[in-house]
Amino acid sequence: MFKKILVANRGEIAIRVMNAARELGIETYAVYHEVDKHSLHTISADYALEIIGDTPKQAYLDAAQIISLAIEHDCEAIHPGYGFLSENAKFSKACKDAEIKFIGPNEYAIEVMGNKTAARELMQQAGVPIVPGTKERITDLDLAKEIANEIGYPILLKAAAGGGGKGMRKVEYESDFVDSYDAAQREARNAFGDDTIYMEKYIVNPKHIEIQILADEHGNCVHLAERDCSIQRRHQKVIEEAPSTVLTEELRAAMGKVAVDAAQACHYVNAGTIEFLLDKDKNFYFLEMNTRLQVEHPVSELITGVDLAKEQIKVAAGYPLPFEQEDIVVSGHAIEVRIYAEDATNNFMPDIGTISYLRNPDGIGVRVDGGIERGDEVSINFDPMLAKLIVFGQDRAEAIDKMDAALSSYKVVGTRTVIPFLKAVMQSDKFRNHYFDTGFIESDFDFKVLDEMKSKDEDFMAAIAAFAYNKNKNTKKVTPVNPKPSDWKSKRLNSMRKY
Amino acid sequence: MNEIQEEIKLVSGDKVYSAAFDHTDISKVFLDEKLYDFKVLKEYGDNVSVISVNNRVFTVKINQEDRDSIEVLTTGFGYNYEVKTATSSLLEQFVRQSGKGKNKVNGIVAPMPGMVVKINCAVGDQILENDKLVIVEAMKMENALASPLSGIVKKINAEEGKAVEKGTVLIEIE
Repeated sequence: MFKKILVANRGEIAIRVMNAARELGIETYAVYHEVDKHSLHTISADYALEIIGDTPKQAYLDAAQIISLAIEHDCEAIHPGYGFLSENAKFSKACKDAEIKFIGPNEYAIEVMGNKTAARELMQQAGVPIVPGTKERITDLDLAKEIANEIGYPILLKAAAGGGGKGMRKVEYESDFVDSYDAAQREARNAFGDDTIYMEKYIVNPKHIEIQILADEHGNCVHLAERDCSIQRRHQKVIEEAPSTVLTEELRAAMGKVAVDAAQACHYVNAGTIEFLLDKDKNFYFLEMNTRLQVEHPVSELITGVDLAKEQIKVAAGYPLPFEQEDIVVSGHAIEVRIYAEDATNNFMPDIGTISYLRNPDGIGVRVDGGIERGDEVSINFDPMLAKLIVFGQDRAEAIDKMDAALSSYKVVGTRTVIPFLKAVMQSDKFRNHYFDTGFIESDFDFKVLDEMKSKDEDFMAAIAAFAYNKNKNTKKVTPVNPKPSDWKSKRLNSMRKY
Repeated sequence: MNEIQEEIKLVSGDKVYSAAFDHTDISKVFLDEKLYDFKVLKEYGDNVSVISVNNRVFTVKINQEDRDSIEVLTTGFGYNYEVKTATSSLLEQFVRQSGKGKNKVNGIVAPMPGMVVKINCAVGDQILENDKLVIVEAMKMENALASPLSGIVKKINAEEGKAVEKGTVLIEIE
């Protein structure tokens, strides 16, 4: 086993990884930019190494600097967490060249899965179902319309260079095809300077289902069931749970097998996730592979009892997986919510500020993977996720009640957080009764509920404001209106202080 | 009710509360004539305290930067109040009458610090309400800021690729 590892990340995930390392008797090295000097990941490491950069973000992305620090301090391995350098094929390769173990997959897997077209092709070869569509750019509109009829409407026109919903058009009927195509092309040209358009089947109200896999260096690969991450805003997940209520035992096994095939097709080693879209008729389509540990990994840990961060380190150290597929048994239900510093009533606008007060919930089956403590600053430098709250219940209903209760005892004062929004989701019938898909926040969630939640205590709040006004007025220092003229010395001092 | 010491109005949006205080007992507040009884259970500093109000427990942060406004922050929500005393109401009336009110700038104000990614207008442009004129990036997220009014772009106080502070008037509109 390694003696020392460096964690090339910050916030909750750095702490999560360091906790796992400690359990394996490994000394932990954090890296931090100046702005993170006081941050929890810095101060909870055994050793903390400063990294520099033009911006804080650039410091954490500086592969060369981080690798040279690892060499200097005899760290045998680097864990990249998620984000930053975690899906950077060059970084994985650079670690290998420096004879430092990258705790994650090899550069080939990262590279191929990071390229949409290459990944799609490889997956198709491996027999992984992909969303039906065109591989080549559309040039002949008549031919394109023929293909669209074959696939079946609605279809989605997508810019090759796309991102952020730009150059994307949903087409419901053949009669709209040409107009939509022109619009998508125009938008793509303006946004990306590239008007290449592809066509795909539009999956109506899909669920986002992903399969966790774990592979060792000895050819063993298992899946750890699924996570349902359908509750998203801006195509980013906010609530994740495992298992999914819509998967049968057979479907779980089928999707699990496909995920393992996908991983093996790119010679995958370590922890990874295959993301799928699942349509109403339980057809599933490959979306992408995340070649790293994911934010929502704890829900899989809770339902399988496997510590993913620990297994990642063990796999990187050359250990074989300690279990086979039939040893992985799913039990109970886990839900994770991401505590973002965002205002849900204002389009999830990120908020910044000092965390003046923080009290984490606790209790049986309540876990907080946090990255902040009281007094910490939430700044514009990083993602606004403060922590993750994860609960485990015997079944889904218990998990939801537990989450609702835990959110009530969660106190974060200083910035806006999505805590009231998350509570409202836990209480919504659609969520409780499993009727939700990726369109939940946009179409099904009633934001008026948040206004009602806010106004429920408004009389109390106004009373508190009045109380504070009166108290502050009464405790304000009384400054004499007419200082004694004889007291020239203090008067002079006072007048000097002004300058 | 004992002797009433002072009466103030708290204005929050279109809601107006009347608050009155008991001269002899600071722990009592009358809000719209209902009695609220206060106990400060714990004070954490940085204006955070745990307060019991009619025995209900709240953890709040109370910001009072000046005499005229109070902000109460809870977990997830913020409540803002404008305080109007007898004196401040008179003063306001005077200011209004003499036309000495602050010259309010119309335009787009940065809601938070960030980096200006794109400016979609130029001085002299005719723009409409809700036109997205500036894109500001903060925390990995792009926010398109929309114009609160229709008019003509008078001045642009931002530059693409440059950082802006919260509250900066990025685009002035006439």
